[in-house]
This record gives sequence, structure tokens and C-alpha cells, in this order.
Amino acid sequence: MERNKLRLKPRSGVIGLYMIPSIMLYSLCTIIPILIALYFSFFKWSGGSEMQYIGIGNYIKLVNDSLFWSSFKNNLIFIVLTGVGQIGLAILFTLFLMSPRLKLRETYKSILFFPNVLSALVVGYLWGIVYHSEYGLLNSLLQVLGIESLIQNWLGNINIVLYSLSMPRIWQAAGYYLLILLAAAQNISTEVLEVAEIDGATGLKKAIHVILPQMMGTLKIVLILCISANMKTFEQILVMTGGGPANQSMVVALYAYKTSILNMKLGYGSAMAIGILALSLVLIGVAQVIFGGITKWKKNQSI
Amino acid sequence: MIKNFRIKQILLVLTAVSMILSVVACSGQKITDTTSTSNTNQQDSKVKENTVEDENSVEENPVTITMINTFVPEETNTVAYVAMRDKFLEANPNVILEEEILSSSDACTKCVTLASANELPDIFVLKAQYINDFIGIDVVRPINDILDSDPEYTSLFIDGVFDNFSVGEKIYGIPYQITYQSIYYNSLILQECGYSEFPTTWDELIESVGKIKEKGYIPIAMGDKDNWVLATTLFYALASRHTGIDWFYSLKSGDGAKFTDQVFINALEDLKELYDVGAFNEDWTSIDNAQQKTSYFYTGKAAMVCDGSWAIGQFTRDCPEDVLNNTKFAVLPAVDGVGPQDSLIGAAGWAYCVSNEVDESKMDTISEFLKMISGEEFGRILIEECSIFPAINVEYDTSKIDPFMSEFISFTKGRPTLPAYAYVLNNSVILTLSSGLQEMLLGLKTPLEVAEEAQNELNAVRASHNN
Repeated sequence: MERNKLRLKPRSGVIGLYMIPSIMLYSLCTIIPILIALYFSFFKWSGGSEMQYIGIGNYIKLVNDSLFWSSFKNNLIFIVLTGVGQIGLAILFTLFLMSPRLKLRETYKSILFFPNVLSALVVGYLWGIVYHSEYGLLNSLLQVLGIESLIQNWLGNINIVLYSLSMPRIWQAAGYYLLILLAAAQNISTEVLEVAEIDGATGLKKAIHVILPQMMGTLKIVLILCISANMKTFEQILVMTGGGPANQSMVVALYAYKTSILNMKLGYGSAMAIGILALSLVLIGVAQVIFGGITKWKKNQSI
Repeated sequence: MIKNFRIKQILLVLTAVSMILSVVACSGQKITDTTSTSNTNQQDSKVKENTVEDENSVEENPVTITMINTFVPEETNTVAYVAMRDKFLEANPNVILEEEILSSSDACTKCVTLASANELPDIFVLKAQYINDFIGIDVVRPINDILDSDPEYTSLFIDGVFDNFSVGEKIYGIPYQITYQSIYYNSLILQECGYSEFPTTWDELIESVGKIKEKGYIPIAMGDKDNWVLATTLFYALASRHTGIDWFYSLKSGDGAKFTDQVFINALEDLKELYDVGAFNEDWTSIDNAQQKTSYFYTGKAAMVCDGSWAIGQFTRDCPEDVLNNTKFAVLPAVDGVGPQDSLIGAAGWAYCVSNEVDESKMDTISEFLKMISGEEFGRILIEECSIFPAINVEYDTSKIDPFMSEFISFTKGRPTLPAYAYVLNNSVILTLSSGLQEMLLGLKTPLEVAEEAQNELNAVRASHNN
């Protein structure tokens, strides 16, 4: 009978073998395209067979490209707006779903997560219809309700277009972060929560001082996911405004696409992609430092 | 316990194998469905395989021609193309035509993408502003041989219509239609605002904007969401009035004219003035070329709309009778400038192009096909039934022409026609200029800044071509 017993933990060589398919797939889909883009970014190339080596010429052009930096600024604005929206809503919903006397918990979870199942293109198109200035759902609703003073050109007014564009993103992704945070919250041992209740911390106090600090690690991960998703945002902007009135809602991924494919500047577009990667890593590093600082500060507080 | 475990093992392996097989099996399927959105509707486009099998054609080898075209059902020129294509396929049963039919903007994007990978189909339709880039990366085949081998066919073409698609002696595309840019106005609305005639000078036009707004109408319906309508239908005409045509040729060849010249800045400033007095609808950056008509002009809310002659077929099809009967044509009013003040902008914007990778043995068949879908009969159907100007001189039955179209034909007679910048300058310059116009009107850039940006882009393009 000894022979049929499976080893609980295989030898490390076997672990390596099991991981080879995943590593190969990951390299093919992620690592190798990045390396290829890095290679192309040193050339001036418009498709076809002629490629001209220009060293870091594309990167110098990138640093001086005002449209790239204004797009990056739009990305940062999105990160702040949607970060606050998505993560804020996710935390609120998590605390809401954690309350003990709640019925129909699974139904709420499904409803909140449903928008995440839709493709970004579909979400963009739907919200484009909602925001349409003449026949859109939103303006018609405001008219019916009689508050016509609030009627705006949601996607054409350069002052509010970024806010309008954040709404679909918040709507779509809040459910996704909710699931992650809920799992983290449910991992908090019930003993801690009971002790807190005995000590007199209920409702809001319990949420702020007991539940949230225990979720700090997961919150950090959620923040990083949010940053990376917002740096990649593409389809919704493309469908709703195409970069917006006069490039005011342009984001870096969309700008890279337009440069490479529509403008046929593939070398410069590759440099832009590498630039986006570098900027994303910087942002995530900054987020980690800030978070590390907060955790340390809290630890010092409690001493 | 052991038995259960064995069964579980077998089930697991079977599930894994079937999952792998289903993934592998799906990948072998050829993608035959492409969906795209057109200007007016959601439309499904198809890859059509037209084969007419004939038992007698066993000796002839089947010839497969791949094609991307823009003849979606809502386009007004589709009827002419379909008629000639079907006629060709009936006469040549050995030809298999694999078409991919996309909306015009999708076709451009797709062709540009395929060009970078050098995987263009045998025949594709191309917009003139891309032709220089395509020639630059060597993916289009010159078609002088088709033209030289059939002088009768070649003589049909209107003078100068190949200019947009040729470099030096080599011609790279066969144009099939010409479009004219002009203003369509609702004479009833203008009368109501005190104008029995369309304003003849620029200052009159500016004045009329105020009067039209007072009566509660939109002066000019504009839909520049796709960032080409403002430039093509309005700005280039305005610019030509200011700069004249010699300046333009000098700009194109690098002989001294620059976007930053005062004559061009004057045009930019005039456009800004028009926008600042409130000539456009509020959502001019959110609606497109089709909606500027359907949302505002057809509904009688707008006094004028700037559009190309492709709109004539759309007017006849979609515009309600009462508005259609009062719609008249006008050219942009005269300005204080160099160019001919009563001219129209007109040119061949699209052409059939042949990929450089095409199999030369297919060229005879391709040549016959192209001549069929751009020749005399095609041109006749185009003007009689589709209300579109063909690129060839063709005799047609004037009684069959739609009345709205006949009015337009008489409107164009005798007017000088100027080329559109969009059809001859490089694509990246056009894109820079078009988005610059939007930014200028929204107050984000000054006219001088827009001109400088466009000039820098033009210089960059010229520098890279000289390398």
C-alpha cells in the first residue's frame, strides 16, 4: 500500500517540470513581446522591410512629446478618480456585506460583480449611448425629472469629459475589487471581531479600527491592480471618445495604438510602449513606498 | 478506495484531453465573420465567397482574388459595384472572389495594419491620404501596365484624376469616384432669417450666424467626432480661398511655401472667428458625418451643413420631402484672398490598389476585373442610380438622374475645381492638422501654434523621405 500513497510535496525538480508550461506561456505572451518591442524601439520603422537604426532617438522624441505627457496626466487623473471610486466603493460594499444580519448576501455579490463580466468594449458602447448629448439616457432622464439645468454634453465638454469617462470604469471594476477585499475580510479570525465587540467597538468603529487595518496587505495589492489597470485603459476610451475632443481624453495606451497603427510609426510606438511600462513600474514603486510608510506609521502609533 | 481513485484519475485525464482537443480544433477554423460599425448603423460585414461553378470550365484553372472593399449596403455606391462584380463573375466562372466588406474607416485601419505586416489582399480600396505612406513602404504595385494596355479605357478618365495616386510617372491606383465639397443650405430657414440668397462674402456669413441663432436655429451643423469632417468639408475650401493654388503646390514640393505663411494663418483665424460667433452646434465634437445631417439638417434644426457630394445619395434616400425640396447648394463665401473665390474642392478620394505581393499570373484576371468595376458601365450606373460622380467621362441618360442630383450637376458646371489638401499631403501631416483645428477652436492652441505643428510634421516627413 505504500506505493500508492502520493507524496505530499514532490521533489523540487518535479515542481520545476510542472511549471514549465506556465513559464513558457507567460514568456510567449508577456516577456517576449516586451523584448521585441524594446528591440523595435531603437529603430525608425513604418512597416514593410526598411528599418533604420536610430539608437535612443525615439526615446528623446518621447520625452519631448507634449501629447504623451498630457495623456499620462490623464492616466494619473483616472488612477485617482477611479481608484477612489472603485476601491472606496469596494471597501464600502465589503463592510456592508460583512454585517452579520444581512440576508441575500450571495445575490448582492452577484449583482455587484455582474458588470465586470461584460467586455470593456461593450461597457464603453453602452455608456456612450447613456451619455449621448441628444438622445442619451442620462440627458433624457434629467429632462423627465425636470432638472434640465444639469444637462451637459457629457463626452464633448472638455472640462467634464474625464469625470464622465471614469464612471463606466468605476461601475465595471468595483465588483472585482469587492470580491478580493471580501475574501480578505472574511479571513479575519472571528475571535478578533468578537473581542472587539466585547470591548465596545461596533459598526463604524469596528470597521475603521479592526477590519481595515487587518486588510492592509490586500489593500496594497488592490491598489497595485488598480494602477496597472488604469495605465492599460484603452477600449472604453476608444469607443466613447476616441481620445476625446481635441485629444483631451487621450490616454497613453490609446496614443501608442494611434501612433503605431494609424500613423504607421511602429518604432516610435514601440518606444512609447516601453515608456508606458517604465512609468507603470515607477507608479507601483511609489505606491508601495507610500503604503509601507503608512504601515510603519501605524505600527509606531500603536507602540 | 483504490477503485474510486482509479475512476477519478481516468475521468480527470479524459477531461483534460477533451479540453486540449477542443482548443486545437477551434484554431483550425478560418475566420469568416468580421463585424464593423458604419456611420449610420450597426452592420455585419461578411467575407463572401462567390463561386459560379460551370461544368464546362474544367480546363480553366480556378483563380482566387482576395479583396477588401468598402461597399457596405448603406453606402450609396454599392449598387453600381455589386452589379458590375456579379456581371464579371458570371462571365468568368473560374474566378473565386474572396471579399471582405468593411465600413470606410474600418477598411482604412485594416489596410494600414495589414500594410505594416505586408499582408495586403490582392485588391484593396485606399484613401488618397495614405497612398504616400504605402508607396514609401513598397506595398502597392504600379498599375501603369493596365492603363497602357487599354488606351480606350484609359482615355475615359477625367484629366488629372490620377494625380492623387501617382508619383512621377508611376500610377498606383485606379480612382472610381470623384467627390465635391460644398455647402447644403435650407433656403426656407435662410429666408426666415432675412436672406433671399446665400451670403456671398465671408463677413456676410459671419453676420448671418447671429441672425440665424436669434431665430433659434443652428447655423452650421458640424460633426467632427472622427476628426476629418471639419477639415475636408469646410477648412480646405476656406484655406484655398486664402492661399490660392500655387501656394499649395509650392507647399507640397517644398519650394518655399509653409503652413506658417500669413495667408494660411488668415484662413485659420477666419475659421476661429466663425466658431467664436457660435456657428456650430454644441456637440460638434461628439457626432459624426452622418449624424450632422440626420440629427440636425434633416430635422430642420440647422440652416446649413458642409458635406461632400457623397451626401447627395444620402439626401435622396433619407431626407424628408419638405426639407429636401428646400435644400440648395452653395460654395463657401468669398474671402479677401488669393485663390479663385468661387471654386469647389473636388478630387478623387479613393482608388482601387493592387498589392505588390500579388501573383503576377493573376494580373490578367485582376486587370479585367478592375476595368469592369471602374469602367464605362460602372460609371453610368454610378451617376444614374447612385447619384455619385464617377472618375470617368461617361454618357448617361439625363432623364434617369435623380432631380436633386441634376441640380447639383448644374451647380458644378463651369466652376473651377481645386484639389483637397487631404488628398495630396502625407497622412501624418493631415492628422496633425485636423486635430490641431479641433484644439484651436476649443481654445487650447493659437492659430500660429497649429500652423507651426503642422509645418514641423511636414518637415519631419520630408526629412525621413530624403534619407
